[in-house]
Amino acid sequence: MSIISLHYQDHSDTLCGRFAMLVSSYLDSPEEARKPGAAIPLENLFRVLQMYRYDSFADERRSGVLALEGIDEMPSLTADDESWHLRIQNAMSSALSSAFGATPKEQAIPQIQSTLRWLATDKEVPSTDVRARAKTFLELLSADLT
Amino acid sequence: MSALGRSALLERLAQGDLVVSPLLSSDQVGPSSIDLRMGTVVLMARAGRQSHVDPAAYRSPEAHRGIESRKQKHERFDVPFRESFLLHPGSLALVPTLEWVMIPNSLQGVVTARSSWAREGLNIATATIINPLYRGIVTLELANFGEIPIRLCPGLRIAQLALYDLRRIDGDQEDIGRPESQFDLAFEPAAGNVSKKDGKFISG
Amino acid sequence: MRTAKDFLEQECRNLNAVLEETLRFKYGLDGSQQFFEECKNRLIFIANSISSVPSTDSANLRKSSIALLELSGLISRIERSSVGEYSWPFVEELKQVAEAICTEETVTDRNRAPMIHVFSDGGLDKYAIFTEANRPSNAGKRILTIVFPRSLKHFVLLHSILGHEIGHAMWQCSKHQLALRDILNTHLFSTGTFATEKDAAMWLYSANAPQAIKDQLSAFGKSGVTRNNFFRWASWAAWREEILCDLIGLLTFGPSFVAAECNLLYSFDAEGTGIGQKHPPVGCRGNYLLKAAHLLGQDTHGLTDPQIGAAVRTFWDGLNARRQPSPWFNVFTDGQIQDTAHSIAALLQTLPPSCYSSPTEVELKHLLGQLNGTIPPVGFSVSSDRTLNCQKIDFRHILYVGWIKSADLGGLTFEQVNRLCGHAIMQQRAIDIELEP
Repeated sequence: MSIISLHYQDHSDTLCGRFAMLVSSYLDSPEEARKPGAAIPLENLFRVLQMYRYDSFADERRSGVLALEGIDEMPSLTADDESWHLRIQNAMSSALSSAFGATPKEQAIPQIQSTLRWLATDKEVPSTDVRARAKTFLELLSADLT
Repeated sequence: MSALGRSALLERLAQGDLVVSPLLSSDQVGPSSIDLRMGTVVLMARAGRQSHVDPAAYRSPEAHRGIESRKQKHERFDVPFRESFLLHPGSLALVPTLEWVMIPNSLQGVVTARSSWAREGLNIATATIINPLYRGIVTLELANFGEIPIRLCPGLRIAQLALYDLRRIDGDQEDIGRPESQFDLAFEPAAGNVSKKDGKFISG
Repeated sequence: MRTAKDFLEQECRNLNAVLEETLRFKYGLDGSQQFFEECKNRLIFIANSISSVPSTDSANLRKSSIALLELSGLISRIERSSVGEYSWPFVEELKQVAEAICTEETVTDRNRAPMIHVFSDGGLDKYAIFTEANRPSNAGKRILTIVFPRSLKHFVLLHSILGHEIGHAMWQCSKHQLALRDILNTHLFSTGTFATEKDAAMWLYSANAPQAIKDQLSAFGKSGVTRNNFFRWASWAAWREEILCDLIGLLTFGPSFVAAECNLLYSFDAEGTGIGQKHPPVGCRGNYLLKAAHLLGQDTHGLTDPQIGAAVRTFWDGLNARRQPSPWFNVFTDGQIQDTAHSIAALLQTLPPSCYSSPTEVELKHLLGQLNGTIPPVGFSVSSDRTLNCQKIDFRHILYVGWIKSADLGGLTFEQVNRLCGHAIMQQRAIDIELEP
């Protein structure tokens, strides 16, 4: 039996904000983006941008093909955590709108992702304008989520 | 008792009463034998876990002592394809053949090392006889008699199987029912029962 | 007294030592380097997070402590992985399917296959594929963990059930989730029983539900679960996802999936009436799966050989005998099932080799003939003109004939059929290597 009851709370939004802040700082010092540990914020931010791009935020960890729960247990009313993404999604929309104006997300998101890619690999340098907009986006996102 | 040549081997394989499956290339069937390849499991005798091989441990093979003795005698390694295993000098390893072998009741199989490996020090420690009606993988007891380790990879041809016609002295075939075998339908090597009904002779 | 921060910093050092200890063992089919580096990166990130916050920042320290817990669990699971405890030939085949489906675009790679980690645990109920969450976390590269029941190491026929788990992994891929959601909303869930939570609840509590269902719901009522709040207890999203994953299992593994699922599910729930928080009743699942297999033509081969035809019919008759007769269990129309299945199949066909395709009669006859002769069923034969022939065989066809044989074992046991098929999958790997250009 566990010595403590740990209630898991989702911290995706603050984590996302922190990643945005870190990556924003890498834009000022790109060499920092190639150090160990820098992969974490870059990969995560890229991933959540993918989710936003494809509007695919369903992310519950389900496993176990067998319906064993509920057979012998009495149920209790709890909610599934399906709204973890709302704050992130809203913050992204807002930051995108401010940084990229009327540019549709299908065009804006790949530009931000190309900036992350450049930071991680030091290849395919995006234009100064794209880097500037990406930085604005990240700063606004970070401010909104942290 | 005569050995089967290539033509006879292929004929029996085509008829289906002799099975060596799969044969990955046609040149595995030689003039009077079939090359066998190494499978993907290695059982290494593990020194230090048992003080000696004791037939007494096998008298009650399903009791704790018997099971423990069998399980601790060898260390098992699964060696997927394109990986390798080092057999050190003086070591004994049990490996299965890749091929599944079924011997008809009119034939007996004899497994020996391929001479090219034998020259490197790799030996099938004992000439393995495969009885009629055997079915399963063939366990090869590999020993390294050389002075340097030998790197073995699953899929390499390391042994050869010769097949002999079993005839009675009057020229007819032996009529053999399926014998009781502790290794029937074997999928991987396993320690055998050295005591094999000889418990009356074992003290301790 | 050590502060929480001191304690967590020490735990980071502990985990680093444990991570280095894992290198004593060979784990994973592809070795340990990528897991080691990924775990190391995560640990560095967490350690930096801890050191960068003051010791009075309990909120952020708590988040880091949870991250450390997750990482310690991952490292200990990696350490437990042993190639000898699961069927690695099956895993090699499964990986090809999983990698085709779960490849994602990442910051450094436009087409990165997931890192796949395999271990074995427990018994019958342990089949699982754990995908790490997409949402922001301390993970860099995502690790897909496949769990096999330890007790079922040699029961490859049952491993087909992992097709369902592949479905969960597919749903978690952002690029697929959008397409799958569109398919489901357009076809399967557009109308009818599962169109909305309300419709599903109405069906569940309907007067013609089996008595066993009513009795369970009545018992649930004592805990406050009613028709109006049923999907506060159960997860509507989960139910829909499970239905999707059953179909993906069928489309990736074919008849062997249907057989594995029916056998496993009904072993735990013989009546098929258990109501799960995250799963619809087993009886419904069996029914729509069998219907889907039929509509996809997986149970009909136009077989000309009477013996093979009889064997295949015996297999399907055995499965169809599990079909729940009450129409209450039929939650979708044929049209809904067919359109959904074909749409998902079209998606899978763009991700070879994930989509299952039926064997030819020649192949079926060959493989079944070998199994009937107690020979591992592989793509090898000797012609009457004494030519040795090797050919590629889809491992899912080996599983299918295994199940066909299991419906009429002859002199073999179910375990022996499993071992023969497991051995065949290994041998077929050798054949495939030999056939490589």
